[in-house]
Amino acid sequence: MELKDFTKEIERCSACSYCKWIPFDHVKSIRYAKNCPSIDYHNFNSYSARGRYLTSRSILRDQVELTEEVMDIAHTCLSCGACDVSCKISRYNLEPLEMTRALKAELVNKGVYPEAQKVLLANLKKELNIFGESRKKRGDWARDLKLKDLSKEKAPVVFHAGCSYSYDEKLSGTVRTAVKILQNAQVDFGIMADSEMCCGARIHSMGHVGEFEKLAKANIKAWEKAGVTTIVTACADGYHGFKRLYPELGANFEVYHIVEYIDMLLKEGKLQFTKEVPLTVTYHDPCHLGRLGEPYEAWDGEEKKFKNQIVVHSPRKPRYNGVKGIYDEPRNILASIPGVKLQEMERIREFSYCCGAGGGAKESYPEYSQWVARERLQEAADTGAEVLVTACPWCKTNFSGSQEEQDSMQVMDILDLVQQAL
Amino acid sequence: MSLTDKQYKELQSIVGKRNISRDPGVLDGYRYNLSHTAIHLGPHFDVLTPRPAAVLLPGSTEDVQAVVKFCNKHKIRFKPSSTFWSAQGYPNDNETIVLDMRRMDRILEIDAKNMIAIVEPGVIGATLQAETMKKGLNCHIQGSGCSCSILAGATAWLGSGPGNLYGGWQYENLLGVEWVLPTGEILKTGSLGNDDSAWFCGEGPGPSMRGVLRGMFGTKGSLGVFTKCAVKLHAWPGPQSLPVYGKAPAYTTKLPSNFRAYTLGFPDWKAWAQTAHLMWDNGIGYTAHRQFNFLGRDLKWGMIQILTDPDKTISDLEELIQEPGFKEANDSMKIDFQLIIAGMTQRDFDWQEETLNEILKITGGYIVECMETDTLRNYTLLYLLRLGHKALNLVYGGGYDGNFGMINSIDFGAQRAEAAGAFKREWEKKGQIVDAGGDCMMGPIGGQGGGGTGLWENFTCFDSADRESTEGTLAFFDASFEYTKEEGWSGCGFEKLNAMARGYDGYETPREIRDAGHRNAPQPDVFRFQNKVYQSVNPLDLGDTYYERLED
Amino acid sequence: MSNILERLKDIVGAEHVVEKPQFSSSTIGFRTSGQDVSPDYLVRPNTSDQVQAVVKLANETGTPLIPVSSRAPHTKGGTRPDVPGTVILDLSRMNKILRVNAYHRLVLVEPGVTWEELSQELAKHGLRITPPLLPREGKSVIATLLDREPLLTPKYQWNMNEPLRSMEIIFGTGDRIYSGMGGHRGDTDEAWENGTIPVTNAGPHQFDFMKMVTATQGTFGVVTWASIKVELATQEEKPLFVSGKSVDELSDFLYSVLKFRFGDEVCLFNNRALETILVADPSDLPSLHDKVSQWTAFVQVKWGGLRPKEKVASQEQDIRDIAQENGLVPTYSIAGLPAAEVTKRILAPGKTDPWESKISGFAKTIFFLSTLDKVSQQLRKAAEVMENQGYALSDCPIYIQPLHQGTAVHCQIVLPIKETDLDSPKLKGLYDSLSRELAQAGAFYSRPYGVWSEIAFGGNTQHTIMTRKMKEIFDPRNIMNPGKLCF
Repeated sequence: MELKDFTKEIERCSACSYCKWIPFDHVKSIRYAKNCPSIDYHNFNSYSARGRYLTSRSILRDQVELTEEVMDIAHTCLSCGACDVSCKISRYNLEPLEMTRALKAELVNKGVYPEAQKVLLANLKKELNIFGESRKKRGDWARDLKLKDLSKEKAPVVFHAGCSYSYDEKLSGTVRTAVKILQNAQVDFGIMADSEMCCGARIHSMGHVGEFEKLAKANIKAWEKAGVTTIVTACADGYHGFKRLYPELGANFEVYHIVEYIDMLLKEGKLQFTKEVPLTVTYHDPCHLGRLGEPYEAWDGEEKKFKNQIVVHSPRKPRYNGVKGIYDEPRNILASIPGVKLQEMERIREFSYCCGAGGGAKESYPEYSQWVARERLQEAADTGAEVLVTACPWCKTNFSGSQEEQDSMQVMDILDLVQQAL
Repeated sequence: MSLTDKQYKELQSIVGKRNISRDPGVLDGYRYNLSHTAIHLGPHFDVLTPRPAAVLLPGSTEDVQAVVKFCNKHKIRFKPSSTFWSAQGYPNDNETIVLDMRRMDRILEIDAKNMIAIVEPGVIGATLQAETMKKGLNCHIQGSGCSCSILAGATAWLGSGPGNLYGGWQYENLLGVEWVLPTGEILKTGSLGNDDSAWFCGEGPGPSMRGVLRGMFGTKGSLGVFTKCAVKLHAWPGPQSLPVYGKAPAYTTKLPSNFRAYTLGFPDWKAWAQTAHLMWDNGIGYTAHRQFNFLGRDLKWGMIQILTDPDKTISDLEELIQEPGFKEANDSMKIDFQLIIAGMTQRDFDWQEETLNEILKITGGYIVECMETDTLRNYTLLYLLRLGHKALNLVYGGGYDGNFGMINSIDFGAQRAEAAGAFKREWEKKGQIVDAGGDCMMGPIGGQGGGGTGLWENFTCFDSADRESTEGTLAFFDASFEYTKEEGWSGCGFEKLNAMARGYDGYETPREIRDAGHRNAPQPDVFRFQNKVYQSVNPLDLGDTYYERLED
Repeated sequence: MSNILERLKDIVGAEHVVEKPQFSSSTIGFRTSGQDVSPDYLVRPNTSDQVQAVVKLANETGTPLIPVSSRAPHTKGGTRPDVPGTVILDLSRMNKILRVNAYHRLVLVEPGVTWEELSQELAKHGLRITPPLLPREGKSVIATLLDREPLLTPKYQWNMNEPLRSMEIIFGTGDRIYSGMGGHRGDTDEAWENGTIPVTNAGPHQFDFMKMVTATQGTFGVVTWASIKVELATQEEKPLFVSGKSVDELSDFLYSVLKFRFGDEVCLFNNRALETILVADPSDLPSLHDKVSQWTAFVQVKWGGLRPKEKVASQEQDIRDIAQENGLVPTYSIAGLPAAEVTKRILAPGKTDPWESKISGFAKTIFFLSTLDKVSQQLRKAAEVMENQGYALSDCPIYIQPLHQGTAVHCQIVLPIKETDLDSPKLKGLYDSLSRELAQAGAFYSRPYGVWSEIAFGGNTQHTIMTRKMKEIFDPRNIMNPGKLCF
């Protein structure tokens, strides 16, 4: 959808500010009641979903110039979807997340986006990853594992490592754990190795829809050629891309995050944790695995009115309010590891607070991105837990990279705990 | 008139560069769409309130005072607001500076023994309640819901809500106030004036200057800035935090056996009103509200099913209302209200519940059967205690406002409910407003502590993106206003309550219209006195027409 | 002057104007110090139109006016003239109980109606009203409530002005304003059927007119009519007493009782106060010495609604539970007197003289607002100040009344004195220093009589300025009781 398609929504926004807070029923303290990092950091109303509806209105009516401020209003949105969840507690005919995406895309189409993104685009163009690392080294992390190379062979399952796991050496242990689990479960899978391309989800969240579509279509084509029917990934960003964005382009794959796989194996008795891991942990629900990890539901309907002026859809529109995201599986895994004690934060599940890495913020607004991460780290520390566990390399990296010297909390991927327990 | 660069720099030096903006992109985030819930004026299609001259985010009373003094020096108007929900919080012209009080969001203290909370403007009902519950206390949350500022409800607007009958409304709960006057001095009211740590009494010495900052309504941002206030709390005999279950949006809670929610139905309005009186006479109830009826007499049972089922959406409503048994269930709560009983002890609860049953026998009321499942009771409990779903006011089409009003004894509203509903039904037939069954009236069972009054809004829902719908709603409000005048229904006219402040173009209502309206009020002298007060307290006229006055 | 006299006679009738009224008269007997200025006239209107006409006349001629509703004696000094030429506006003739409505539990009264008159009338309708402690005979209900005098039942006090609701006010300008829903006069049966009744107190719009006539000692205007919320007559009641050695020992118990709104009358007396209230005659005092605990909390459960026996039994048990949690044991007698008798004496209608002056014939009282947790410290300060000046706090009756559902307390220290002490410099010195030291210790003079005005308004500059601004609006010629508060 384009921004002009939101014209009616703009007029229908409640202006209630629910988009700035976690669902109110769940508020447990004043400290951890807010949900929107961009307004939390910037404070002006424009930096919230309701504010962005107004900005969008002004842009569509040419009432504002596209200043740096306007660019910031749009591009500091982490596209985390927290506003969407909260809005939809009371509304059924607004899509604030979609609107913020359309707003970014509108500005991108007009050439208005942070300089840092130009570098990412150039990297993608040249090396098919946003880091600009050599595509020839993409498969290095798994070289010695002798996995099927689906650029040459076929398999029903592809494990997509993602840019972070492929290139960040600090994360290689984690991603190798993921594939070892698949190996031990005797899954017939392969990787794209050096031919793996960025999923495009991150660049999509920055509003570069065209670039995303190119990457997505290329990925879909490559997998179809390899006979893939199922995608498994350990990257939440990629998970969201494959589960929600790719089907809009015609993709038809089953998609799993590795935590779903592990949970399934535990339930079937095919995986057991034998070692004790005596740690108190808290779990951070990654946006793209949780509220944005809902499956795609095709819809080709229209708006209509009922009882004169009730705005409904025919057929009914998919809700996408975070309810069908992946929350229980990682918790089941943690509960299955002997010795692990889970202390939940206040903002969890569909109203988890973003790590600060999404939407292009990490690349374009690093100070802000780190501030957001530190907010979340503080919340984790306040649980008394020793370890902050997550299931996304972007979350993990942003948390680790934002810690201050005196922070004693460990940041781990759930796979790292799993590895310790095997 | 824009701010000069020099003036802008001066303001920057007060609040910091990060906390001020005059970028139109930011300023447009401080314009309100009068097409949807302007609160008691309009609606006016495709009209936004004026773009302010600048927006500031003060972080302290010192910041606020400095800004106000600046405004005095340069004769620039200012308008503070906390959560900016409703046109009341927005300027009437392009030369006004907006003060966004969001950064001043501390709970300064919760004095559990004396049941007092001291808050800054950015503290909302949800966060204050979450913190007070940890100490066995609760705060009154105004009807606009827990997303709204506690301070604003107590000082700037109304502060009436479902919890009035037990917790008092904010008019009653407001204690000491720290007030940056329009001239820039700081006035501390009540006991606070003599002792910076003494927030406990809002009255005195002598005549309460609290009476200058609010009466039935507050100043609506037109008479300086309130930077802190204390509110009285009340007992919370429940857990330290609300346990929440279920999937969005169908969250429920489960509380101990000294809590229970009921939906009570009645054979007629007389029984309804009589029950209210007997409840008040007998001290029954922690929260009581005709809540779900805002969804419409003909639709509410369908909407309740949607709201409490995470798999349903509003698009299912059409099918739901045609299901067998729907009409019967819906009609069983035609004349109804929701009630929560919270016993301070189990004994207290038992006595209240047994007495409620006696009352229902006397009046012919009954507990509505279709609402008697665990899920629906627990949904109602959470809904009414936390009041976190108030944006449902706009669930249908993004536009809503309330008309009639009926601020009087509860019997007044009860006697006129059918007539008001019938009047609305006729207008629903025209197609521009949601056809919800006429009676969409919602309001507290008890407008103040101990009960006694009612305050009813008849919800009118419309599509704020649709010109015809919006203009049709305005026509309906014009008609209902005239209707209540013709019928001699005093205490009505909610739909035009703020029409004296702001006109159809989003700017201030022209003087001749305001003067005519005030001269026709039951007591024009009230507005003449308010004019004198305004001129005395705000001599440079740095507020706006939301503080109503008659100058003649 | 004779012109004023003639005009006053024209307004109220010659028989209702008294020239050079005596202090000993039934209306204006002042029992305070320094009565140097005699009023010129006393007028007795019996309609609000007459009141309005008098006020307009006073404006026109610059004549000081003091409204008085209660009968004598007046002991706080608020209605004592400070300037020559004063006219006393005696409202005691306006003593109609205009309407009682049991369904709405509202009563409409004029200012001259007394507590006893009202209680008796309400009883006929199955209603009652929460009084202050032992209101003296002839005390006006409206005057009591306007002055924010403490009432015995905190749980119904949702705001500090309860149960006062709507009013008709003649301001010092001569303008008439109906505060709250006072525009609904409730004159007709139809209005009550209709529900358009004077049931609330706020506003009617953004300004709260009611607040300009509360605790003002008549310096802003005259209330000529008011609606008051009342309660159901008692069907069942049960008093309990909980004793202790100090306020602190009882405060947690009281805080819980107040928080959960158990009990109707909830008060705290020291031994001297309770002795004073219980004895019929000062000569009986020695018989009570050492029989009354240092401090006694009086908590009475009362019920007039449905299922009264069950209600009282249930709440009594809840209160006992709270007492037990705090290591206290409720009793049902005091000094050998059974609870019913003690209660009867605490809740009796007052005599002509205030209860405080029962023992020595006269009394000088200090009262202030505070919070229960600060009272002990304030009393220690009072004891210290008194000791330094040769007095003993332990001789003084002390009455503590929780207010506003427990958020504040009224604390009252009675200095028993003889008539000859009234004007003594020593007493004046003590009173002055006690008042100031208590203020330093956090006492708040919400009702600022005499030297408390100086304390309350002296330090509170912006409040004082604002109060004067309001005075300028509502009584620009300063004809209403000039010299009081900060005017």
